[in-house]
Amino acid sequence: MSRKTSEGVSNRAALDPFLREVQGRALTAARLSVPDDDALDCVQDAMLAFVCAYSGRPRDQWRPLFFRILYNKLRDWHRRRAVRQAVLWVTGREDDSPSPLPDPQRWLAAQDAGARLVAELERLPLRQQQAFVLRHWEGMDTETTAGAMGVNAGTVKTHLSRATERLRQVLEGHHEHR
Amino acid sequence: MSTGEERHVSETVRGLEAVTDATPRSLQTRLDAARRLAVEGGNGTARRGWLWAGAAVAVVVGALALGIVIRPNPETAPPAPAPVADADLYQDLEFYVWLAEELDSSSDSRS
Repeated sequence: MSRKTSEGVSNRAALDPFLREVQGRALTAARLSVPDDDALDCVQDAMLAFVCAYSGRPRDQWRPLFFRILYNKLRDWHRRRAVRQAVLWVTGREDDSPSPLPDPQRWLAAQDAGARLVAELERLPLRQQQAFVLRHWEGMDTETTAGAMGVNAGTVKTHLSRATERLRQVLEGHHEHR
Repeated sequence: MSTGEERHVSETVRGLEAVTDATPRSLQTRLDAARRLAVEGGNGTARRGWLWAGAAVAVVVGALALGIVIRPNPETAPPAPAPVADADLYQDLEFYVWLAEELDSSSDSRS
């Protein structure tokens, strides 16, 4: 068996464990910006696109590639929603679709200060969410995060500093009220 | 990153972990099903695409070949109907022949 074939065979075998490992965090990341059902659709679409197009890549590239696909799906969702809202506004109709920011109470199952921070993470722009999740939660370094976001390292740092600044304000407000 | 910022980050990350652990059971079940679908559906999807395209081409070629092979047997095929225009012409011709004969016979009787 050639090296390429054996790598392909072992990649296919590693697909399910990899996706099982990331699926929960991917769903949480998606739920930060879209309703639960749409988050599930985005994650499923991302998994399928990843398996079809990128499962042949080296495994050290899988994580950033997968999250790049996922955030592209989320961005597409927001663009479609913006177009839909513009059409409704022009035609003078009501928007009866679910709000993209569900009730923050749903995070309270976590029962700690982190829940409030997660609820605040929901309010951040998608790019800042993405930078925070990839850099601090997925543990990617700045360069890998930049590659996953399709931007340069400086842009990643800008998004990160804005996100952490917002979280700092929330956390300080939380401790004051205790 | 300052110590304070590190604390904010670590608290938020703990929050995200807790939220993930508390994902509703219904969502987790659907997520597992989605993962299985992706792994089974994605593997070989490209090959299956080629198979479907090949099958479609084979169907088209087969249909064309069948159309060429199946031709009506001139001996057993029903006769083609006469063109309508010719039939009308013959009918008209018979009428005019009859009319001419009538006129001839009537002129004979008058003379």
